[in-house]
Order: sequence, then C-alpha cells, then structure tokens
Amino acid sequence: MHPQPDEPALIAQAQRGDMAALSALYERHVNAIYKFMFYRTGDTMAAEDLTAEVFAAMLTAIARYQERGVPFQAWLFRIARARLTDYWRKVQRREKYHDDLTAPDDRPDIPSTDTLEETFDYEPLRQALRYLTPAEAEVITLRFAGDLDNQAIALVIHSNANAVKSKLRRALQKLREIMERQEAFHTQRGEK
Amino acid sequence: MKLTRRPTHSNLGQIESALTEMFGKGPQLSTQARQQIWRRAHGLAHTPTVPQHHPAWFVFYPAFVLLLVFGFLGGYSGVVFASGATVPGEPLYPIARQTETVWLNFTPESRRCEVQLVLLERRVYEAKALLDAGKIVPNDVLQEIELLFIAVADDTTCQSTQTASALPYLISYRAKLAILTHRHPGVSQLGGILEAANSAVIKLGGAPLELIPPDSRRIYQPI
Repeated sequence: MHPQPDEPALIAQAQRGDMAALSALYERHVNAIYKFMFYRTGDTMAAEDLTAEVFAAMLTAIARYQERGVPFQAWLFRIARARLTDYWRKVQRREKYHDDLTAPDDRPDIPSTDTLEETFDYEPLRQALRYLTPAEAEVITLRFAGDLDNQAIALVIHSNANAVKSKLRRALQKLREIMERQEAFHTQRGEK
Repeated sequence: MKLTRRPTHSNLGQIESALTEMFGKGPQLSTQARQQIWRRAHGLAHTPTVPQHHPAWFVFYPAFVLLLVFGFLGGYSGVVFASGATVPGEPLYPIARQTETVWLNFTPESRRCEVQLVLLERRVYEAKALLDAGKIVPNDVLQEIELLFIAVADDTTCQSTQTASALPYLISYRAKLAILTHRHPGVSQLGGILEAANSAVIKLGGAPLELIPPDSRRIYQPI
C-alpha cells in the first residue's frame, strides 16, 4: 500500500492533537496491522490486543514522529514488530512454567461452510508456509498481509530493498517447490 | 474456487496471486471491532499508571517484601510468584493467593482499583489455562472473577479518576470471558460471570456485549 497524498497533512494535524486526523490515520492502517498480527499469532484475540497496543503507542509517540526516510506505515509496522516480539517473549515465559497447561489458541472452532471451502482452497499453501523460516514468513506476511512494498519492508526489518527482494523470491521459490512436491504426492495417490 | 479441485501452482506469479488472494480473504475487522480497538488504544495510551504486567513500585512494594521472605523458602517459588503465573492445583498457588490478599490489604485505597484489575487478569488467565487443559476450574476462582468485576465497577476510585483507564481492561477481560463461555458451554457459571462482566462494563460507560457469531473466530496456525 503506497502512502496516500494527504497523509503528511493528516500526520501534521494528528501531531497537533487533532482527534479526527488521528482517527483517520487509525482507520487507514488498522486492517493491515490487524491482519499482520493475526497471521503472525494465529489468534484473533491476541491480534486485537496487539493491534490496540500498536495504536496506543501511535497515540503516545506520534508527536515525536519525524519522517526522516521512514514512512508512517513502516513506522507503525516497526511498532507492531516490537509488540509482537514482546508477545512471543511473554508466551514463551508462560509456556516455560506451564508445559502441561499451555493453551495455545490454535484449536479451530467448528468452521462455517465458507471457512471449510477456504480451508480446502488454501490449505496446501498454508501448510507450505509453515516450512518457511521465521524470517521468510515475516517477509511474506509483511508483503501480503501488511501490503508493504520491498522498500517499506526493508525499513521495518532494518534491511535493504534488494535483500528483501531476494528473500521474498527465495521464499516464493521454496513455496513453489513444496507445493509441487505436495501436488506430486497427491497425484501419486490418485487424488484429483 | 470450488471444493472439487485442488489448485495448482507451477510458477511464482501463480504463487503470488494465491498468496494475495489468501491473505486478502483473511479476517476483516467489523466497524464495531475497529471502534472497540480504538477505544482500548486510547485507554492504554492515556493511562500509563494502570499496571497490567508491571505495576508501579509502590503498588508492588508489599509483594516485593513478601517475595524476599519467600526467598527463604526457595528461589523457584519466588520466580514463579513474581511471574504471577501459578494456577490452581500447583503447590505454590495457595502461597500466591495469600500474598495477593496481603498485597491488596496493604495497597492504599486510591490504588486499589489497579490491584483489582491485575488480580482480575490473573483469575481470567487461570480459568482459561485450566479450561483449555480440560481441567475443572475451582468455584472460588470463578466466584472471584465475578466479584472482582463487581468490585471494580463499584469502586469509587475506578469510577471517578480511573474510569477511562479501567474500562478498556474490563472490556478486554469481558471479551476473553465471552470466548471462554462460547468454547466451554458445559461450565454453567461462565454465563453468570459474563453477565456480571457486561453489567460492570455498562456501569463504567462501556457498550453492552454483542454476541460473537460462532463462525467469526477463525483460528489458523500462525505462520
């Protein structure tokens, strides 16, 4: 997603405490941040909590925001990435003390018809994504769930656009190979 | 795409399209959910004094003193208490509960609301951990959740100076309870607790709970 032309003006208004501008910025970016959180955590509840934390940080820190080569959207995703790291740390700490009680929210509820169809359509792809390294998965999520271009991703993960481009390409190639193997396996089993 | 065919992906462009489509069809926030998150963000942003995991030192002071005392009983117990992560059935849980009682009694009236919010979060976490592990939640834990919701809503400090701060936390805990209630229909007490939570939120000026349709919570494996 490329920044819209009126964004700098909105940011300036928001920095002066204009609630309408803050709200407009929120509405503009909330879905991308939420999707990123959702696909990284796999849990709607955690994604909502983390999204709220990201925008709380935005409200607190926007007065100090200066573009300096980091667009607003990339700045938000940097906050999101930091919150996610805190989240994993917390989850790991809890798991450490509760090996037998850990309750990851990964048990699917009974899916609706739509979900079932969607699950079928994308399950091979979803499975293939799990074979990526965390860094590759992060780049894929930022690109497709966060809708960021290579330059913005580079700013978020403190890399450069060329490195992101090749990482993205490697991840896509890896996905293709895994899916080809999956397809060959299913063909061998006689599935159509 | 229909259920009858399995999609094929022979080049990178197709993989990209499939990813765009899959992520594009991902979860969408409803208007109400967006508003709720925005309100919570405001609450979190404007209430740096309300602790969730890192209470102010003067609130935590009595607990810290007790932690030193318990240090004699063993380093492990201290660490577990500090994490606030014990659950009913564990050997250290009664000690943690006693400590909480002392902590609550030592906390000045003006700070009681904050401590109650921390305790409420712990109780909800305990209930979730036990239920998800297929264990029975002790009645006193469930009762305490209900009582804490009522106490926070009735607490004058929560109502006067702290309303803006307490409300987003109550909304968050109520949402967690709503999901637990949906997931564990066999635990009859959860319905009553959810009603108490809803009343507490309304009392502090929040919106009433709208039931989440069962199919709206789509949980995927994280990638």
